[in-house]
Amino acid sequence: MSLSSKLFKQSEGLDQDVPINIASIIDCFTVLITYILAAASFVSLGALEASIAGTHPMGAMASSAVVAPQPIALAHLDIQASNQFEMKTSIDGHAEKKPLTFEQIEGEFAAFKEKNPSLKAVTLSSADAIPYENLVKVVALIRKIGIPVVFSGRPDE
Amino acid sequence: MGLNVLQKFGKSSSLKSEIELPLAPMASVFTVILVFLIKSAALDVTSLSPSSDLSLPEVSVTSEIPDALKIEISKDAILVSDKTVMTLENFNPTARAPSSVDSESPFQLLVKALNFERGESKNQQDSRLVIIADQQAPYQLLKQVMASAAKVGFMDLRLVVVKGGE
Repeated sequence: MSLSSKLFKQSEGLDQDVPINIASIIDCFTVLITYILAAASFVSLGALEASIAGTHPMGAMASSAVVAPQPIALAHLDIQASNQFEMKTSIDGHAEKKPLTFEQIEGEFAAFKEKNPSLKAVTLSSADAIPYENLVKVVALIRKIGIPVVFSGRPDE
Repeated sequence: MGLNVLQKFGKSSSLKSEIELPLAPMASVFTVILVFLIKSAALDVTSLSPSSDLSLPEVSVTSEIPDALKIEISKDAILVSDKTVMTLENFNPTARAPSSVDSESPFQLLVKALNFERGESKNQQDSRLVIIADQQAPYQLLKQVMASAAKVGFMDLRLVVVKGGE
């Protein structure tokens, strides 16, 4: 038997004998998976869309895309300090005011939108002390109907 | 009899030594889990990391958070792109930033910071602003922030909330 064939046979035998050490790979994977799961944030964040009716020239252009220059139907929601809500609507200059509860907001605005498809957005104002949480809940309710919400861009309103 | 027992014992011991845990399929499963976790983690990344003391409101109707300029309003400070622009004390503006000129109001500084960040951003025409505010932040503060943003031309707000609830 030649030397080369002997070596070939030896190396063949080695290939068969050496097993891959999978246990250590599994250990490594377990640590990695644990680390990724621990690092992952299980709180899922999202965003609510709203606009500002502003004074900046570019802003005026942006807000005009949301609010029509001379809309036939206008709707406004005011959150009062007592956490009461007032819906102010205007159809062809005919204005109306209506006190609402939080539960009534969705239904009232949905009905108004259905009657007045020209309604482009709801403007929102609030008493100074109202927390962001309450505002966001109102914005979410109006967005649910599919109406954009516009905040006042003026600090005095 | 004794020989039989010994023979049987010998057989079972040799069997025991041959049995190995099938680790290869376990490794395959772990690989799949790992790939899945890494992929989902990569997809979820929105480069958004609110401060730990921030308590976000929770609503059900949400959309995706865009990659836009971020402003964070907490009890103690207002941050624009993770840089403190204004210090607050229970949501009330208090001290001015060390770099500020005496005549500048805190909200003028905010306008400056927003203008600067807008100039630095890749898309200077982007009118989107991501607001990450504490759920207890009063509207008084928010409207000042929104007015400052409007002055710079940020008109489209994205109010960051925790998905779920209701």
